[in-house]
Amino acid sequence: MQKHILLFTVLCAALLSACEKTIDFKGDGTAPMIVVNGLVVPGKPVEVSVTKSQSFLADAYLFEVLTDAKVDLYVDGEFAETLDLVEVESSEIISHYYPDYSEWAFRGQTIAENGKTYRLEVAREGLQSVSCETTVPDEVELLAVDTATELIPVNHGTQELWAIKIKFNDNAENENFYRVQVDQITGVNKNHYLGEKENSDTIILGEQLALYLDLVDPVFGSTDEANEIVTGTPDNEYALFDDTQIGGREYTVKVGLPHNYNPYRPYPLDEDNGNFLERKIVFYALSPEYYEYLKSATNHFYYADDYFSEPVPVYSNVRGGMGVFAALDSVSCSFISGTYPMEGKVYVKDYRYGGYGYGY
Amino acid sequence: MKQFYLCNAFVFFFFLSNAQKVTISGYVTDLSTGEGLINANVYDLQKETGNVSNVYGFYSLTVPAGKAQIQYSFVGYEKQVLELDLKKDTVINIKLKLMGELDEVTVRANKSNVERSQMSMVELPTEKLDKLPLMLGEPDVLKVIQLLPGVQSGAEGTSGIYVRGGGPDQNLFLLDGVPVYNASHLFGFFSVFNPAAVKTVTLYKGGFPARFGGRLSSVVDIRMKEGNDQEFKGEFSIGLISSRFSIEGPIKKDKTSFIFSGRRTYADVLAQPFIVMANNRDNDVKTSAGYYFYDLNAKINHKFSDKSRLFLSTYAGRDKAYGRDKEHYNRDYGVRYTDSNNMGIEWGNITSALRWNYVYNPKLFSNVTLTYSDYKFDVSEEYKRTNNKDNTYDEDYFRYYSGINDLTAKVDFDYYPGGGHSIKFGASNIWHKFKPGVNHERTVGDYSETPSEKNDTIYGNKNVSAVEFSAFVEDNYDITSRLRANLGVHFSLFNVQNTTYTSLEPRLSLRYLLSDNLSLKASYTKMSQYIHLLSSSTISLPTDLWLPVTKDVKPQKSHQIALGAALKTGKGYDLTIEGFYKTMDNLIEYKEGASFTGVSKDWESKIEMGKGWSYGAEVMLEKKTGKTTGWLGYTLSWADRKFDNLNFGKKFPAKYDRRHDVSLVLTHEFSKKFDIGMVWVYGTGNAATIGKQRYEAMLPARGGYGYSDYDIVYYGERNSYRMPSYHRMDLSMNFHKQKKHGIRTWSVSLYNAYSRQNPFYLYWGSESVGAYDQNGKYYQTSKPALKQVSLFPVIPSISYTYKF
Repeated sequence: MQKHILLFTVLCAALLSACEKTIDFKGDGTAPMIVVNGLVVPGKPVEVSVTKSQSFLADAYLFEVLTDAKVDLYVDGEFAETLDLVEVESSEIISHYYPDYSEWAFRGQTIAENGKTYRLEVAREGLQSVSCETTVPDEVELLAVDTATELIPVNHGTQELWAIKIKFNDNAENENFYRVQVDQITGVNKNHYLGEKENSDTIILGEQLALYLDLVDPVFGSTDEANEIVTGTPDNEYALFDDTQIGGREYTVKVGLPHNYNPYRPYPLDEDNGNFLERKIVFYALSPEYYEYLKSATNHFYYADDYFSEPVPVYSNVRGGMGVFAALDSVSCSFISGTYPMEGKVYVKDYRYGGYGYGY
Repeated sequence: MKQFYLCNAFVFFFFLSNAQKVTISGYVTDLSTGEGLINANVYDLQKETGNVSNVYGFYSLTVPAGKAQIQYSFVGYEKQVLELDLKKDTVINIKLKLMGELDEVTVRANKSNVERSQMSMVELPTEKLDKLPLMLGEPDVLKVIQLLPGVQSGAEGTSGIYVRGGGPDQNLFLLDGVPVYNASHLFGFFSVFNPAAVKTVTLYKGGFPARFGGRLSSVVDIRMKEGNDQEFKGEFSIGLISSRFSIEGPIKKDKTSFIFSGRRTYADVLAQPFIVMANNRDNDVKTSAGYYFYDLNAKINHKFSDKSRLFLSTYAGRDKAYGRDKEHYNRDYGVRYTDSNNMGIEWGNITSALRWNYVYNPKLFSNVTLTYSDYKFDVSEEYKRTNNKDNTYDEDYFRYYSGINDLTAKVDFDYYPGGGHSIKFGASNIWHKFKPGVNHERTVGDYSETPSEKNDTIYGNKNVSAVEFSAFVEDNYDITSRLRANLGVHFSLFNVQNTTYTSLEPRLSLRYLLSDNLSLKASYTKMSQYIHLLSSSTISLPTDLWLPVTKDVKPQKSHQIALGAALKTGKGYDLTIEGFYKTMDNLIEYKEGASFTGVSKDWESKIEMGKGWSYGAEVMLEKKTGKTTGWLGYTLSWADRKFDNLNFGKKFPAKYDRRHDVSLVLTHEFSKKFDIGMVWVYGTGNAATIGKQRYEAMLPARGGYGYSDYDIVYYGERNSYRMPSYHRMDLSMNFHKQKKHGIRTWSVSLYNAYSRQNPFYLYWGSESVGAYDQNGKYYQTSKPALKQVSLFPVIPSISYTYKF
């Protein structure tokens, strides 16, 4: 419906002879700035990427890594160390397709802890110095995770979903922000992909990060269908929620996973064929900065091409620059159907069969 | 005891002084049509005191008994001077004759702009409307208002107005006193006011008299014609996109008259054969689509006596866009099926007013009004698959509708006690019913989640009722022969969902005559607004939703002061200079990221409240009479907003903050047979938020999408970029010819005569450029480029009008 109306509006405008031309950009605010992106995770060293923003008029598409930047880390207000420039391991998919690609980051020796505040001061000659700060959320206390197949009300009736119930304890003393993510790893016998009946010893692994979830729980905010009338509204794609409706108590948050997100369906889970389906449920506690960043980024991208709406800036806590320096803590649990790993089977991450690290 | 004697003496002299005075009263009307003349001057030439007629043409003037010379004048009409020997209160109804050619004497005789205490007010020359060149040849009241200083236009070609830094929701459009909520057709490209039915248009930008309330930034008071009570008159006009007609005349001469007018676009009718040809090549497929709008105005008035008149007026307007297609096919071993898809969007207003004027005595005029207004927006879509064999069907139907109803009862009085006082007082009560949005869904068969059942649900927001009461009193008082004041107070009360807001708003306008042709003016007004418009769009959309204040969303408030001067030169020029400063509180904006809404659910959580400021200066040089008429307007202004959670809490320019705004409007009459018009406008580019830089994102995988967004756009501060300036010239020529039964006019217009590509919106795209590689080989590549989209190049139009 909304597309019709938008289309109609655009058509009206087009009929009235729209025309387009290139004009000169005459404005300020194009001087490049330091961009700091980093997530502090308890138990891991503090690591951030430091890059440079670039003008829209720049021809380059890759962002310059500021390898000569000086990155000082402060913990609870005290200077801790200057972070070192290190080459970091690229994700498997990047390494697979771009074996020569290098990723750089600044990493320290300091291991992050829950409840501590980390501040960065970043300087680089020729650019304005920046600073940013975040506090690692308290440790997440997960009380129970249950799954069940349920009929859940949807727009036009009910739908069969794999309902996931996550029971946790919300800390009443703080304002808390959460995220739910469900990843999926599938193992499919290679010969099944090829349409052969005989089983192979090779199992092709596939991974989907962050499956689409039906956010049926009211804490995720309702999606009002009438809001969709003209252009629609963005989905809560990162499955974010805060504790406004929880208020410091035990709470069981519920999400649903549509059954059609089970790509394993055509492949029987026979005991000896090696097929399996693993679902990993990750529950995050986010620092406020990360919550705001993800929330605003959702709107930012959704409205980017909507000429009738005000653009949405992405939240940044980097004073004098851009990016986000935030923290999270997480806890996860997995549910496996089938057997993994299975003795005698060889597991291969083969990107020809649905990719690895990407969603389908 | 001393106080007692003083009091008695005061009462004695009061009665003595009144005993020596008489009051003349009556109506000033047009001789040929019987239409009441608004703001006609009634002037005692000996005592040099006077008054003006009210919106119904009624006047009252108290003068000393005995011989008097009373002059009745109105710009464009022959003045009349009556030599009277007044012994008692007298009723004199005057009919003024329209002049063929205006002379300089008339020009000098009219000093109303200099003399009146009201400032920041412009009376639109409606008789010039069809002489001005306008888009697609459609005369449009609001587009002429856009040409006045202090008024910014919205998006290109649209009729939205932004007055003195205010928002589009802060304008009160009154059609015969009835508020009109969505005053536009075709997404704002045309206003709903059919010029053929309009008698007067008055714009108030500040110095609001106490009788007005409910909006912060402007009042557009539109009065419909009452209908000729002398003879039948009419006109029709055929234009490129619409045709209009108007007919008026006496039902009973001098007693009862009517006017009926209408307008409809016919793009849908003209385009239909082409749509059919393009889509219906197969007999089994039928497609149609279209868009139209229409409006109808009707008014009837009856004069029971010189003291009593009744008016009934109504307006009905509607926009409709629709698309339909139907396909027949065979399936399931020859079973004949029909698939149909219907889509429709409709919106429109209906307003009605029943008004009774009664003259209690020569000094007291009353007006009792009952009004009703109804705005509706309705959108629906239906897919249906019918099995023609067994008549079963599968269906997916969705409908959304919203609206607002107002029922108003109002009584107001004009009281002329003499001694330089003209007092207006009254009260009104509005019963609002907000219908913030209801969804109706129906699914049958295959479209249903449970195919065996029919799902039929209605859900959405409950209607919200609210009561808005207001009362006012104002006194237009000649304190001395040079100093005149309009003092008033407006009280309002708004009750919604057990929450009550009240506001006491003082109003003050002062005028000091430095000479007969020059006056200084000052005003202060406080205004309150209890309803908000939820709209994030740059164009007027039917999905824009009016909603009342709530417990958390407070009423908007404004304070405005203005200082100015009015000068009338000897050659027929009026010069007005004004400066203003306005503060606004509790303004609403969508939170960053909220877009079109179409619904009010949780709307309070989607908005931010903040403040606004606007200030500036306006100059208007106007020539109302002679062969060449028109005006030159200039506005220098600033309009800022500040919201805690927008733009990082920093102040930012309002969307239509425009530093310089110039408009030149001219018409010239070469002869009775030929006249021309010209409009030239210039405005600083609109403020816009556009991307300035890109930077690397740090985003996890999104639900169902994996990783996809790597670059984030940095916009800098909100509205910190200026689009290129806007300018445009429109030209028109009108050829008139006297025919046997009337006058026909051919009008030829050029909109945007020099085809300036004015910015509608900007976006970052790319353009292809040539380059050479290391080996000197030429290749094509692309580079980022800022793109400007413009809407209207030069648009010629022609229309035919016949007046009889």
